[in-house]
Amino acid sequence: MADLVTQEPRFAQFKLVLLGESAVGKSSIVHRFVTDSFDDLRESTIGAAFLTQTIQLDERTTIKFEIWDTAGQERYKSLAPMYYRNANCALVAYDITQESSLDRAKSWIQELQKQASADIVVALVGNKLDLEAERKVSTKEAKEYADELGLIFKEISAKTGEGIKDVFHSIASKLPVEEKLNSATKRRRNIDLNRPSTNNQESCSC
Amino acid sequence: MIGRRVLGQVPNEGELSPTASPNGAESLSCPICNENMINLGQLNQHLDDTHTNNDPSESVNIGPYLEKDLKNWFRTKVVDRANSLHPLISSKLNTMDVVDNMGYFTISDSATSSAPNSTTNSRISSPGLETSEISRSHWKKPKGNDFCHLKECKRRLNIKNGIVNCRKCGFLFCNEHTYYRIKVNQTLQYDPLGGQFVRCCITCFTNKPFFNNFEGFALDDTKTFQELREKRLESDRLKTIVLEKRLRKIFAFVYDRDNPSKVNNSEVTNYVKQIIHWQTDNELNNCPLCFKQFGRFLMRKHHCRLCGEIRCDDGCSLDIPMNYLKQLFDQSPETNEQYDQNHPTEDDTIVFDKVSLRICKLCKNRVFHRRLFTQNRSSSTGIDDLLSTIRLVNIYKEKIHQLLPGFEEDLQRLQTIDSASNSNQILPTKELEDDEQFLKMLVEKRYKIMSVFNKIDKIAKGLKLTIDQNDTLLSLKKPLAEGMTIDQLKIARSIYMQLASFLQENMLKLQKVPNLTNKPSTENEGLSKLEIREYRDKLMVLQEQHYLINSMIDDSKKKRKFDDLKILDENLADIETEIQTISRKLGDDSF
Ligand SMILES: Nc1nc2c(ncn2[C@@H]2O[C@H](COP(=O)(O)OP(=O)(O)OP(=O)(O)O)[C@@H](O)[C@H]2O)c(=O)[nH]1
Ligand SMILES: [Mg+2]
Ligand SMILES: [Zn+2]
Ligand SMILES: [Zn+2]
Ligand SMILES: [Zn+2]
Ligand SMILES: [Zn+2]
Ligand SMILES: [Zn+2]
Repeated sequence: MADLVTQEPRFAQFKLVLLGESAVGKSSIVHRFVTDSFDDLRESTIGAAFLTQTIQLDERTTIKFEIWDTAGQERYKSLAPMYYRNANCALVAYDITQESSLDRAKSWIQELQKQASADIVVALVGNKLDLEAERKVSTKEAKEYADELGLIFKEISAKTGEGIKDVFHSIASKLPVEEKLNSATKRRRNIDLNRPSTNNQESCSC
Repeated sequence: MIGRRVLGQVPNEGELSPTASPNGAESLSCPICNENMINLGQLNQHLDDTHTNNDPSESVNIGPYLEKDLKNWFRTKVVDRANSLHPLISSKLNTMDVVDNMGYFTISDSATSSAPNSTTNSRISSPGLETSEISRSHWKKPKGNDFCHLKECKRRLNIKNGIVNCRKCGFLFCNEHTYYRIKVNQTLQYDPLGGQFVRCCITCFTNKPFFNNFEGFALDDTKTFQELREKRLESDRLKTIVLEKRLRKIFAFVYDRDNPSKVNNSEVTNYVKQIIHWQTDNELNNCPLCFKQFGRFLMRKHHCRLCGEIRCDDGCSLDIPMNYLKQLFDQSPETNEQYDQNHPTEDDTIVFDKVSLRICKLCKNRVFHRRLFTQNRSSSTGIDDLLSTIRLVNIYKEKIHQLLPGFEEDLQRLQTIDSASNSNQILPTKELEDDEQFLKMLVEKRYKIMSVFNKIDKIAKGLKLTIDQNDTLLSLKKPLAEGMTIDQLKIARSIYMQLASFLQENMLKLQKVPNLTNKPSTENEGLSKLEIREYRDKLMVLQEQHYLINSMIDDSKKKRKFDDLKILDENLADIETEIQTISRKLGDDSF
């Protein structure tokens, strides 16, 4: 019986918010993740943009991210709480070539600790890894900070794509999938636990 | 050359028609993007639709784009084709197994039976390919002790080795040396287009004309196409001339008067309405060019002052400062010599700030694309790119200069409303509604200004990239990027610096929130001025986001992404709640 349950395909949806100083590459990270593309001349984000992407966490688990890509410009900082308030996970980005951006990232993390939900999964990522030659923030410094607070930590490059998938997978694997299973999946379990599992993944409720 | 390549066939002029649908062996494709075309008519349309510059930012880079496209085309069309042909040919020559459908390399009956490729077989062995109409009178009769006619073979001919007449030369060969097909006509001449397939010997096969020409023959449609294109261009030119005439009339209206500085936009619009057909705007729900939906708030309808048709303001039409337009127009290559005498005078500069003309992208392309393009092409140095960049930046800067003062005035008005509420006047509901409208308008303006700033910012980033790349090259003592000189790099640097400071200076203004009156606010239980300021700022940002989410919702509806719609709707509700909360906190100090 328990075996059957674990075999069943699972589908869960999570809200992810991107935070960080302007120009660290938040939008570039999202676009690399969602469309696997990169634009050297991306326009700075106005307000907050919305995108979605679905990943296969393991054979039976499909995870859909609702991504809110917030604008890093100071003027928009008041919008952020609306997007992190009930977010399940947050990706806080800094630019490894800009020291100030790590400070900004740290202050976002503090704000999340105070204001966001207690079980929010937070990842700290250092972007623009391709600009190793211009690095100003050492891996050690950022990693120690992240470890201390129990955050996911990765250095990535939206430009080359390095580490992008990893980060989202690490986030996904820390998310409470069981709690979040969408109602259709749960209902199916309640009604027909003995039914052999099918390979369908589109267990969304529509 | 624009043409179709027909492998192994001789061109037949009589059959050439621009609308003829090609058979599988032919391909007609756009020389720029390589997209397949059914006929020349489609190509003609395609060149207009796809490769006529639409985006103002594109005109800056037309050179590199075109070059890249051509390189791509060359690579896929010529190099890949050649690469793919050679192995194919060699494998065919080795095994005599045939995969192509071009009647070029062919196989014999017996090879057919063992060939795995059934589609090929059906074509090769389809009935009527080899008919009895072709004479057999030249066939050598087997005498009983025959040998393969091929000198290098001389194999004894029998049931096992085969006794086969070559249908062309008539000599007797073994099976192996008659595994070939060619097309001949009744008089046994090679005729790749009109002939029939017949079995032949290896000698006749390899003797056929162009045997070594792996590229086949080209049907050169260039001339036909030129004529077709010429007609289109001619009608384009006529349309362009009409538009140019209108533009000249408008310039005359604005500049040929005693005091051009007195002209204003609505006068110009009234004048334009007299000289062109002004499209009535009822029942038009979407922009005819980009199909974006018109709405009450930001996607407003605008008339192009040259064609009179309705367009959106989101990329399909642009409000261009009159002076700039005139300058650009006068700089046309045709009238270059007159440039000096038409150079803006002092008076023109007065017109500059106040009058602008909205032009849609189609009209812009008609009137200005050729000008900009010819300019770009005449000398292909980076300096032209820089000049186009400056030109573009100037358009955007002017736009900022147009929008920003109005915005600041509105902020001032906000202050007045403020003092009214501070002096404890109770505003009637009607006026409160007006205020609501007013705020929406303010948000709309802000958003527009922001978008223009973003465009400038993007250009600045582009420049920065070029500069950085070249600086790196310099530091490595390598030659600069193509078309770039040290002087141009300097110019690029100074444009960049200028842009950066322009952005800094002006975006600061945008960030400035209205100063509040000196009167301390008493009504809203102890909110400090600072708090009021902050809340108002928040309110503005929220209104902006409200607008953005609304447009995302429209977009999701159009794309039928209902999952997203749910999330966006929820967010919209969140934003509205937030707006209410803040408005309540602000009390009378809300807008
Ligand atoms: N070299 C390099 N450049 C990057 C990388 N990621 C982003 N960029 C560049 O950094 C700039 C800013 O990127 P965005 O994605 O717009 O930054 P953002 O964090 O979304 O900025 P806001 O929207 O203003 O908050 C762009 O010019 C990108 O091309 C990267 O991994 N490597
Ligand atoms: Mg962004
Ligand atoms: Zn094309
Ligand atoms: Zn022969
Ligand atoms: Zn032989
Ligand atoms: Zn449009
Ligand atoms: Zn027009």
